[in-house]
Amino acid sequence: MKKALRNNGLSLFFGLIFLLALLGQALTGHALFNEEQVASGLEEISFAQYLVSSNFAVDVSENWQSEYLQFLLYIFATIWLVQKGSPESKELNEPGPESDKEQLVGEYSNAKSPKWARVSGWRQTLYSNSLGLTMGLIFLLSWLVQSIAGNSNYNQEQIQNFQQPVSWGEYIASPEFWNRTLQNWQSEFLAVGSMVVLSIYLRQRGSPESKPVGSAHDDTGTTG
Amino acid sequence: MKTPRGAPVLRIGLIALLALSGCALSGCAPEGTAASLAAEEFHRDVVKSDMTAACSLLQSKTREETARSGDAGSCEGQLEKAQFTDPGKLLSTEQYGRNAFVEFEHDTVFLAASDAGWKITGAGCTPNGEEAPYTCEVGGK
Repeated sequence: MKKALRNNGLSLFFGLIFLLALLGQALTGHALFNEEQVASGLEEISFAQYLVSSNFAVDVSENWQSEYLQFLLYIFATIWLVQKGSPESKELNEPGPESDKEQLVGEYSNAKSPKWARVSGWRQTLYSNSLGLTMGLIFLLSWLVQSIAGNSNYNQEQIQNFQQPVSWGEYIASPEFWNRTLQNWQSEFLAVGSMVVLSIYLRQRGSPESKPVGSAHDDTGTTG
Repeated sequence: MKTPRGAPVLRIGLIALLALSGCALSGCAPEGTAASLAAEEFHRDVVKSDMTAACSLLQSKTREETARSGDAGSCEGQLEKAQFTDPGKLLSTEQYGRNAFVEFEHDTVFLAASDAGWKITGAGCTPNGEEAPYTCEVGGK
């Protein structure tokens, strides 16, 4: 039990703080929603009703989609693009999907390699891209949910303001949809970009996200 | 990253996503057709001059504001003075969460969900161009 906790500490820690933050978002979102309801002379709703509201759904999904897009882009961009001196980058002479030997697939696989890495054909191709594809799928689903829930939430505000609701097609071409989307994207891109650049010159002792403290600034692709 | 917990975490995430999209698709609130029934009932009450019944279908804030809005001194009196036209046939009902928009041939009605069912926040409403709020005989801006 103790060993299992230690071996999965990173995923358990992030799983726990994710749930706590989501609960905090739900509680504060419910309070804020009801403040606005009262201000508009409308009835307050229960916490359970808020959890299945489009207001909560759009606020959650707009953040999810941008996070998964961030990792999707990072996974694919780091195949081809390198950054001299960054531990987030591969060595400067290694851009591209690399050889089967380096990737331990097919005839170069070993006894502990996952089954689909050992076989050739579509299963190896699919498994070779499974991380990026899964991140991409979650990104697209989250973005779709954002568009649907956002459309519903936007139309609620339209009706409360005695304005005509808009269709889903009109909504995804609206400033509201793209403002919600881009305000999340810009912060994710800034965070990733600054991590790539700052990790060239700055260190965090013991973290695999950093180079070893004594590494030269132009050492690329080394982690401590 | 593939961990022993990876698969369950992914499944829970996907279930959450589907739940969120299902909620958004359904509008997460009472039945939308009930909103059009409330709007039709309001129009029937006005035609019958049963203004007490018509006022009871207004949302509480709308009812109070209607009573205060003119010199009639009451919601019923104010409804008597309002210029309602025959709404004609019901064209469409759009429901989003706890708000609904009901269009008739010659009228548009705005509603909000409450514990007592759908209540009218604006009736006798006519559009003022694409972006501007509607102008309503009762309720509205």
